[in-house]
Amino acid sequence: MKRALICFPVLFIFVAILSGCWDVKDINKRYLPVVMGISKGQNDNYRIILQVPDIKGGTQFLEGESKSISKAVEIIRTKAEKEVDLMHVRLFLISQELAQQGIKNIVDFAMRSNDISIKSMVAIVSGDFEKTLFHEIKRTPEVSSYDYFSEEAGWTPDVSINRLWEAYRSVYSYTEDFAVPLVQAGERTLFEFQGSAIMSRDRMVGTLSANETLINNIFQERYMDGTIELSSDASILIKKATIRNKARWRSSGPNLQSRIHLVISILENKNEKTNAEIALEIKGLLEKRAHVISDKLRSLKADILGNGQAFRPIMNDQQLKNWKETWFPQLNHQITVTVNVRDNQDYKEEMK
Amino acid sequence: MNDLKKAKWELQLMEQMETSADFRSSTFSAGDHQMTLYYLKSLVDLNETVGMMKSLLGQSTQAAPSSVDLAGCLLEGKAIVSLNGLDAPLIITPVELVLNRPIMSPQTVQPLQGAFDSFTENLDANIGLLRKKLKRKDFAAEAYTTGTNTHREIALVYLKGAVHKNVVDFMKQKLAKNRAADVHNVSDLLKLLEQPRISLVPSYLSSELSEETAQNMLAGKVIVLIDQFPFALAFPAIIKDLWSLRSDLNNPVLFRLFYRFIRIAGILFSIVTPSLYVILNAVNPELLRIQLALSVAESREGVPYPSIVEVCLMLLLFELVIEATIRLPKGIGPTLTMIGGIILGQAIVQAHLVSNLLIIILAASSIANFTITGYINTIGIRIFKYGALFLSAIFGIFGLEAALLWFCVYLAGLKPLSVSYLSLHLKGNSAYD
Repeated sequence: MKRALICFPVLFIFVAILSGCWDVKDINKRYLPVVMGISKGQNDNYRIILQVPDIKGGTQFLEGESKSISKAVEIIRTKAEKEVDLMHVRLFLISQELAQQGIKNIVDFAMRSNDISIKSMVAIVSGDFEKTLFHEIKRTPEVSSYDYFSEEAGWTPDVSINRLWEAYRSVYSYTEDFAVPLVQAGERTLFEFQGSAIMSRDRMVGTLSANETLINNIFQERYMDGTIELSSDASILIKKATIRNKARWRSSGPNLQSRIHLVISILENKNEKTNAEIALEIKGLLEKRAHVISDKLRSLKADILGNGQAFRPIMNDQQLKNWKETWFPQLNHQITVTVNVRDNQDYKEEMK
Repeated sequence: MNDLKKAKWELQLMEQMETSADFRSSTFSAGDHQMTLYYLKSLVDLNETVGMMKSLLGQSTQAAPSSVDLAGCLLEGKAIVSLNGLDAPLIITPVELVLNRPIMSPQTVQPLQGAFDSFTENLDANIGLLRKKLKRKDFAAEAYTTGTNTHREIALVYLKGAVHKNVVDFMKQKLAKNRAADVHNVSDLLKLLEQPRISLVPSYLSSELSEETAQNMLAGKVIVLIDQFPFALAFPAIIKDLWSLRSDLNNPVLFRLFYRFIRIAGILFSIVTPSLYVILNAVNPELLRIQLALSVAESREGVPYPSIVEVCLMLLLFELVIEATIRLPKGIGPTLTMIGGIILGQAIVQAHLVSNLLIIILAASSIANFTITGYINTIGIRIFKYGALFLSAIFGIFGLEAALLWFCVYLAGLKPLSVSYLSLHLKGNSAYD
């Protein structure tokens, strides 16, 4: 007993001294940036801008510029009077110019550094990068730039979202590319959504409009109450969408049948159309739109719908490696949409 | 009376009791007898005794004159009679002065649902209270006199049909083995029962309420009553006693479950909240949502020292307030609480000595601590809180997990009185039936 009484404290002190977290800094001695902006500086340098929010609604901006991202962050750290902690970075804003040259290096850096959360989101800024980054709206706590993309806050299905780990996966994947939201500084709101950037491997090769992004989100099975306008003065709300892919490898090349099943409810119906008519109309509209996007993506060699995923089990190694270059452009993609109308107000539907 | 006439034992007795101011001898004649009565004035009612002398003499016992225990008899409240013409002393049981408090309502607890009578200092009265509550044939009350210098009556009270046989056997064996040890207080009793000296949770429940104690007996506990000690100690305590009171059973089932859930949450809260404050502030702020992180950082703005120092300082102040108010008379207690509340709650935050979030955290922790049933149970948890706090300050969230895990392992290893502490009930195997 006596020996244990002496041994235990001594051992405990050793453990505490040798392995404790002694270099911790209190939370009020840290800057907690929420947004990290990355653009091109002079001489191919990276220019890093960090947005540090303040509880009173203001924002502090920290800047640094260097050949590598980590050195630029280091320069910021040297300048700052507090520890700069990247663990709360929730949004990476990348300038369009940089995105067109490739973002592999940025994604790699973020994944490698242990303190950045891999759940952070990635977006591309078109237009004036500095104006977007330094944009402040009065009376809004500056965490709103993150809220814009947050599924718990301001996200709508017209906006694509892309998390860091998804970007990393897609950069290295044989069979999938990704869409990144494209924003620019808004007039009265923080951002204005411009559509989605189509990324082929790590490079931005084109854009999708907001309407087209909705289709992409349906393919990713990621939506909450997206609204679609029909030509005939009616608009509907997509409640739920499920997608089934059936992949076949024919002698002519890969062949994919996608069946989209939508559960919709009608929001506006000025011309008093029957449900069946609306369902038919939405089916035609979405099928047409989807085919347009599918064709466009094949021509850009950017598989952001993830069609290649369906072929993984039936491809051999060589086909897998050549998917994006050789096989995806040859893909024969058929898309069919089925629609179910829910929340019917008109109980005498059949009599019409 | 002439001293020369006194017997040898009388002289011896007077010499032994020389230092007792309340030792008296009085000589009087009753009928044709001349008799001398030796007694302690503080324990014996002389007038009543003399009045009843005839019947008392009839029940007297005659002791050998050489017996040295005459002084001991006096201390137990007996009186010694010397009849002239009879050489041996007669020991009688006189009418005692009443030195006992009546049965009153409890002083240290507030029973919500249940009987209001509480134990007194008198051992027999206490056993009587229990007997009245439990009219059962298998009610067992075994008396032991312990001690060599101090004689103290200890009663082991239990229900043969409900109790765990191992527990009774264990306690009887220890009582028989260590009978010679003096029992001045509960700590001596625990030593006598060979309980671990240092323990985070007590191995007994102490209660002033006869109702609660009777219910504890029904639940299979063994009650130890000590003479001149108005609390019943129920052995052994199990983990369930941290959150369940027997008087809960006087409430509807749903309400009882609710109470118990709250108390279990209270245990967790009281341990975890100060540690979490340090963890979220210093070691792992990434666990906070950004909005919360900002307001936490804001509340700590201007506080000059690290959060562990801040927490220790405030915890110490809180402990001081608890310790200072607990024994104060009812008139002055609220004053201190008010001063403490103002100093701790307002001024210390305005002086930027601690963050106001910490005040909330600590208040939550101490309120949660007092939801645990029985004051004696709360203290171990209060002590353990510091262990968890220091581990958290060093190792972050991992340290807190390790501390909680260690606490569970520690409790699992406890086996006071041959029953595992983590048992959820004590119902015996009714070996006595």
